Amino acid sequence: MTLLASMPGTAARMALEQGLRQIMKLDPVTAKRFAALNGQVLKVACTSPDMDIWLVFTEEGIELRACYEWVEECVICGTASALLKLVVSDNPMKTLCSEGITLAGKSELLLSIATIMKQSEFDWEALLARYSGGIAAQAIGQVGRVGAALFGDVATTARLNLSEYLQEELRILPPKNEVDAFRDDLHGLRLAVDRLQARVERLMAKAQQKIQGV
Amino acid sequence: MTDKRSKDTTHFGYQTVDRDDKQKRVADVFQSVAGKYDLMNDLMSMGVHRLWKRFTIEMSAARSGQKILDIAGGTGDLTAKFSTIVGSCGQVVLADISDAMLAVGRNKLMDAGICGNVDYVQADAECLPFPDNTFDCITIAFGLRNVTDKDNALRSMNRVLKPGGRLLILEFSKINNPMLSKLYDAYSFMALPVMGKLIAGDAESYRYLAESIRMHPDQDTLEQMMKSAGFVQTDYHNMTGGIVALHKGIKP
Repeated sequence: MTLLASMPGTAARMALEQGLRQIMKLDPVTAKRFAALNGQVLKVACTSPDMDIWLVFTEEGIELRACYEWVEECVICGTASALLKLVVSDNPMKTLCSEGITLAGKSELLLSIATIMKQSEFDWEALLARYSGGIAAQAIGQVGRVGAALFGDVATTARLNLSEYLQEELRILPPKNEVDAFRDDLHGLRLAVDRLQARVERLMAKAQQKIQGV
Repeated sequence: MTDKRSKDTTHFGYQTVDRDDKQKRVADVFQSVAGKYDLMNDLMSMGVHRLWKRFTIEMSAARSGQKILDIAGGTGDLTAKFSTIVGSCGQVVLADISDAMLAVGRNKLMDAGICGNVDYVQADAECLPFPDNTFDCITIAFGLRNVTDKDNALRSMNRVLKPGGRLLILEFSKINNPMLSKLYDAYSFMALPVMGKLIAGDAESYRYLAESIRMHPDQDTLEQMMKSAGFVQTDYHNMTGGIVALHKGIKP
């Protein structure tokens, strides 16, 4: 029996299914789009760690199965990290190629899932409002949105300025131009050494011929 | 084969009773506990029975359009799930010998909007009232140990299964770990009757539950009984340390 089919694995899958069902309730359009995939099955074959799971799309939601005896519509196979990158990727087809993920069967199913996920708009505030009330949920949501936007701006600014700060202010790293010039010099030096070596070899060959001639 | 008693008697928990009397006594047990059956299941198993049933559903490999028989279906946990799997072109038959359990199951499923592809039949597992080769899959969850003649019941299930169809028996079984076994004994003989008394107002029925589990054949014996009844590719999976086992067999 595999780990996913064991009792803890079954419990984890059931909890995950329940969680997915709750999330789907936050976006009825996405739930409806997934329901349209009713009857289709995606097998996710993870090679490292070795683990297979089947995503069975039903009208009620997505079932996570540890065993499936019929033929699935689509199979994706790859390492856990590669599959995770595929899930969060903005360009799944590019990730498929770059991460060495193999795809068998109908690729339309995978594309449909990626499209639905990309177009999904889960109303997290509605979930929060059930417990905190509408006003508090809106306020918390606003704080969250502002925080996320601020964090995004800070991250972008940091990414853009970090190299300049390290190279020009702290001078821990050499600037790009210096590195390029050094690389060009190194390349020129390598060519000069190659030429010198060829010349030495040619002179040695000539000297050898003269010695043999005498 | 398993009932090593005279032909006229059988066991009812630890008691020896007339064969004809057991069915009535089992019916009385379920008549008494039917109303609180689901609540007691959740309390006694601490919710784990849902995992056991989920695993059974997965092992059934049921699919759209199939005909499924849920024997001793009781309050319809398996039937509800099978109903959505087989869809409108399939059929699920919930069978139970207890009219009280059947009524509770039918009301529960109808309240949940599960109807159209579910039929309810009051039937004895030993003489199933269906033609030969009718069902793609038969399940019996926590019911076989209450059947008077298990060999007869297995043969009856084999008869109504289609060739290639599968039988799944989810039932309490024998624990391999001695430590867990002692804990389990203490729990089932001390805690269960108390819970039964407090929740369902019936300690005796839950004492019978604990006793009937001990009298039920172990994993290997039940597998052998399935083979004798004509099933092939028999196999079993222990769950929760062997507290429960799921037996699987195919009709050739």
